[in-house]
Amino acid sequence: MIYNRIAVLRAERSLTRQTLAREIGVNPQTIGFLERGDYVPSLELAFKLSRFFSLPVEAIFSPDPFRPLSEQVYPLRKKEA
Amino acid sequence: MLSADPKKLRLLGIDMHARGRRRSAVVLTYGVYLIAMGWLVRETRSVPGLREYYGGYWLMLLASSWVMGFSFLREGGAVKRFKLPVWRVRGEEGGWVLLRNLDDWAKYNYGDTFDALPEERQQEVLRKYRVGNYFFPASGSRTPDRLDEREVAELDRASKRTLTLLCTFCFSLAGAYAARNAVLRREDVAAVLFTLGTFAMSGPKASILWNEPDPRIGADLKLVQEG
Repeated sequence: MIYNRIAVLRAERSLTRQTLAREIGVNPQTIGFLERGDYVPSLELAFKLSRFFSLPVEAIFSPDPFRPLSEQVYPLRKKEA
Repeated sequence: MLSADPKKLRLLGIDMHARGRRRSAVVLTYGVYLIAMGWLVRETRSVPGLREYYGGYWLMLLASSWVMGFSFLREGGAVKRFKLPVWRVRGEEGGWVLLRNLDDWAKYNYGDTFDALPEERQQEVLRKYRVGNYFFPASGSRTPDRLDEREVAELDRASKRTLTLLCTFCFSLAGAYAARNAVLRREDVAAVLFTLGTFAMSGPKASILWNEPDPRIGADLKLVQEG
């Protein structure tokens, strides 16, 4: 099982599935499959997504479940304070 | 893997996006087909008109053609075509497409006809467009008819599932015929061969219609409205 943050990243950028699908050259249904975790993308597709979001692959995909962003951001702020 | 055109996902005016409805349609199609084949076998035996001049054979061919060409399981219907349109020709890198007009260029680059694209995209298409006929690699196309990597994998899975089911069906038939005392007649053999051929041709599409989830169902996160 590979977890991903595609739905979060797409929502942050206010993109529809159609737009994201068109930009990375797949069909909109495939974005749905990726977001639900029903399909594990090839390396080529993973790198296309990484390039599109301007993020490293490991920031989008992970073999372990992602921690909520709030948990990751707030401890950092506490440390900074 | 389901067609991107909502019109193709309608059957007798009923919206067939929901998986339950698609499954019902598959069962109904095969049910009608098997009943028709059974009726034809019986009638071919008893009605001389159907026995002579291959009447029964032609009607069986008609029933099989209906499943493959006109029913919900038809080629180019609710399920995308397994191959690119006829203007594809074979090439070294998995095929080439012939771009003949502005709409072809728009479909190749942005997956829609020229008029349906936003103005910014139209301008980009106009900048790229050249008058004449040009071959481009099919792999670079963004037409919605093209199968992407997930859909190719799904097609492979559906074909394997169909092959497994057909093998099981053949083994069951072998057992049934081995235990049967009556002599096999030509209409029995013809009906079994037509049925096997029809299942082999339409099976992958039926499998996809059976298994593919409703494309309208989103992920858990629904912050962005679909366009």
